[in-house]
Amino acid sequence: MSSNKIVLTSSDGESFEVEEVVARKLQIVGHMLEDDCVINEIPLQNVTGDILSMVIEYCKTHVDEEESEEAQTKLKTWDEEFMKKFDIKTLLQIILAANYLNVKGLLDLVSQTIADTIKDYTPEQIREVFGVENDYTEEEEAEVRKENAWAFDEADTPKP
Amino acid sequence: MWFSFRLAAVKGLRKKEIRSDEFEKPRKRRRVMNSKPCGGGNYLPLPLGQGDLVNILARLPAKEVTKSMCVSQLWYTVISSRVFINLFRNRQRLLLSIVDKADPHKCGFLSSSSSSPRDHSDTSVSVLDQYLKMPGLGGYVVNALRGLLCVRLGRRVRICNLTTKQRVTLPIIRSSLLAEHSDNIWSYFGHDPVHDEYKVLSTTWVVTEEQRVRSEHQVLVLGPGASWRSTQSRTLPPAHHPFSQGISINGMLYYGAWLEANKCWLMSLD
Repeated sequence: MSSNKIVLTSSDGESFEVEEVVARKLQIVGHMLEDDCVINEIPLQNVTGDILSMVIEYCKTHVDEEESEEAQTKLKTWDEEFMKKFDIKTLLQIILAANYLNVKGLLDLVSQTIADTIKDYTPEQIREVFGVENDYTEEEEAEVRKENAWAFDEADTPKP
Repeated sequence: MWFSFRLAAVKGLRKKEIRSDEFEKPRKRRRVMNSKPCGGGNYLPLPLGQGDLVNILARLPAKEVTKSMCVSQLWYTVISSRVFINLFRNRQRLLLSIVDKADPHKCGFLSSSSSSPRDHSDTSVSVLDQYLKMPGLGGYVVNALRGLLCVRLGRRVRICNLTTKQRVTLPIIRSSLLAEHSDNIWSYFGHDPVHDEYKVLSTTWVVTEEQRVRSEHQVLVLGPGASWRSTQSRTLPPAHHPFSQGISINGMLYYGAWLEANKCWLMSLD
């Protein structure tokens, strides 16, 4: 079986040569290949080299997803270990890349990892990590807390 | 009041600014926010898309999601949207109720714990280890649906949200057929996927001395100012009193009912 090589180039000019089966895991690439079958080099504008390399690492590992339970467990363990390498800010960059490149499995994995990470964050910490500005007035925020008092009824929550 | 606040949240504008007509301000601020991250090496390249945000938030436990409403008005809008709520609700848990027949006020509810959708994904065994305590939760379980529990105590029907511990008490069921202390009431709580509406059907009946059944059927659509109204039907159903729990299949409700003292039918209602 011949395996085509495809070169993926990141926004900062880093190039990665990967097998076509791996590149097809990026659905954005898959679509391009379907539209026009003779492409060997694909520029990916919205992702930097360091993030792209991680996405490729994921795709290489998941390239042949076997049905057997043993293989699935192995992959799951690999996923967990893989995710442990990244801090929350990197995870957020990976999710953007996974969305842009359209890698469904990675998108789910990163979403879950981020959810598990921010589970214990305060709204203030979430704002900092996600780069979100608090656009509530003090009264409005108090109102939201009051409306959902059941979620804020722990001792550590400031009184609305 | 609450509604107008939500409307403001949708527009992403602060009330204060709407009042003072300074529409330029928020836009300016947004531009600053977007340009900020483009400077350094370790940054967030773009604010997260709404799809990604939904994807992450839908994986959080209910309590944490609700707390996240405090993050910003956009987050509030995303979390309180119908789309998100429908997505979020795709979690199941088991519920068991024990009611004292002699005194329906005495009852207990047990549930399996469900904090994250992953918890039960690879196990076929659920443990009922959560004692559900919430004010106003009592009576016979009518049925549970999409995270909501419908209970009836006498003529009062209540819908309880087991996640948020909120509850609504529906208007009292009135019927000319109901004698003072009669408990000849049967209810069913359903969801209409076409209009995305929750409905409660209540049937009241009386059995005359000649063993004849007379019945009335009323429906209530949940919403502000909801009230009971008689069911509309081109062909009136024969008078009956239900005896089995209702089950909804493809938008039709089925239940077993007695027509006369010794005749039993399967009723269907859409």
